[in-house]
Amino acid sequence: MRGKFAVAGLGVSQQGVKLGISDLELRRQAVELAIEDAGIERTAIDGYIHAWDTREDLRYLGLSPSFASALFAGGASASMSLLAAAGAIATGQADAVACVFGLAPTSGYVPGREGAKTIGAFGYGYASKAGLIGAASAHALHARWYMDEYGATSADLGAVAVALREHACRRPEALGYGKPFTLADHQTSKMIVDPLRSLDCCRDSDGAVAVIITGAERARELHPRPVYLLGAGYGHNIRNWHNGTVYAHHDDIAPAAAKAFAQAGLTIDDVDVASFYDPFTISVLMQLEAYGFCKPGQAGAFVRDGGIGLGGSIPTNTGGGQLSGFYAAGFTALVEAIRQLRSEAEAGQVKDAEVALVSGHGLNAGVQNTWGHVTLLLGNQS
Amino acid sequence: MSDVRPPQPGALDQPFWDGLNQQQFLLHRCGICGCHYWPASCCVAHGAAAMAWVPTSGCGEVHTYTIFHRAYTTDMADQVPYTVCVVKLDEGPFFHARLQSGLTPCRGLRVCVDLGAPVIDGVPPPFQIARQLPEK
Repeated sequence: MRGKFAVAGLGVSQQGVKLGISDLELRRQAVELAIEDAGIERTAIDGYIHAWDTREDLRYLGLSPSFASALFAGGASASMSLLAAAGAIATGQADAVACVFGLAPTSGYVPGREGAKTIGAFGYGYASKAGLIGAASAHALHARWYMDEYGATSADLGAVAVALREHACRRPEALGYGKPFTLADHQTSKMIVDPLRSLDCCRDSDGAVAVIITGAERARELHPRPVYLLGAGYGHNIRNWHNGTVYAHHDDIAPAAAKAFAQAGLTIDDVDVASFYDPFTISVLMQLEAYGFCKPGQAGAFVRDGGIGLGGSIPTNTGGGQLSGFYAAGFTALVEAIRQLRSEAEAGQVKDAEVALVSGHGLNAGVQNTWGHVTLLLGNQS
Repeated sequence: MSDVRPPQPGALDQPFWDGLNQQQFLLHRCGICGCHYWPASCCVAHGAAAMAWVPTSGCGEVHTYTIFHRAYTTDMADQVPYTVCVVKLDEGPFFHARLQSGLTPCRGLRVCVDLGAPVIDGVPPPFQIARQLPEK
């Protein structure tokens, strides 16, 4: 696995709220930017993976791949699509695969979600009959478990919100840019689903991302700074649902991380930058501990002490993440990791970043946060 | 009119909803190992070989919870704030339920389903503090 496949192109469309542009047009823009970034002939794109649960309109994208498919595991789809692309290349089915995501929910464009929202789409939907509705409440169940277990407080959650907003304030493309806030602002923000306040929750935004995956040699020919897949691992929270520990697990990270680090031949100490799936502040606290960046129950203090800042021991979600950057499901974390490893993170650049950890987290379950998980290790040295 | 369509009980789980109407709290149980499940499941060890709906206590303890201050559907506006708790049933499975209005949730609180409450439009009855029941 290590060093055999790489990101040869990255395209990020405009990201924002109420852009008034359809999701398809945003994906077209992202694909164009990725093709330009890779310096590849568009006819050389011979595989297409739509990281969402609907079919793609290849006619409008002007592509003619030998295969196209949809791949859906919610926010885990992004990292999974890279592995599916690697699989297509490894089995000789393609040489250059575009992995693409794009939604425009704030402009009314969400493919497959026309009309009234169905709670059933969230999975084991009976909990919604008791009033459990939406991703925030599903994550709040984990947050309450964590706070009860370790005596953590809303201020610990707030420390994450503040740290990520500081990151965003260095990055003009982040939606939180130019809008700093303090812990006091967090503590007075509206309670939504206790213990999560308004500033503990990310917001939907419109935008698309395209990533072109090729074999490593091809990527070196195409791009001056290829980003290599070093290791990957899957986890699934159904395992912890069955054994009764699901609320102690933001994701089923342990087996995923073990596999990813073994494939990469690396340890947690080798990671220079972390890019977590962070729809809610609790997500950052629980992942810092699950990966071992800090001890159980210590994540709040770790964040308050600057642990995830640019000068901290593990700079995390340096683009502001979903909470303060932009929401492109699993691609938010992926984009920032690629930018860091290409030294394109501008004022948020982590000096000499060589290895990035990306987490994907997806399929809102309606009974706990989500089921699917991917740990991905990326690097700029094969 | 609601802007969100709630799920309809599926045929596989119909025995549970029928049970509630008869003041019974049924769980799906594997007759080989005795593991209980909710909703309708196949045993992770024995598949569908010996699954059957059986009456249970309807009691357990609060494992975690969240208090809704925002109404996510227009028809819930008059219900907030309300608490949804995850009850770890004595038989093992998690069950998500409304905590009876006015009660303060906390981890470990012993609760039982209010089987006397009517089941309206497929909404399970709330759980209430198990005052009358002995501690396990």
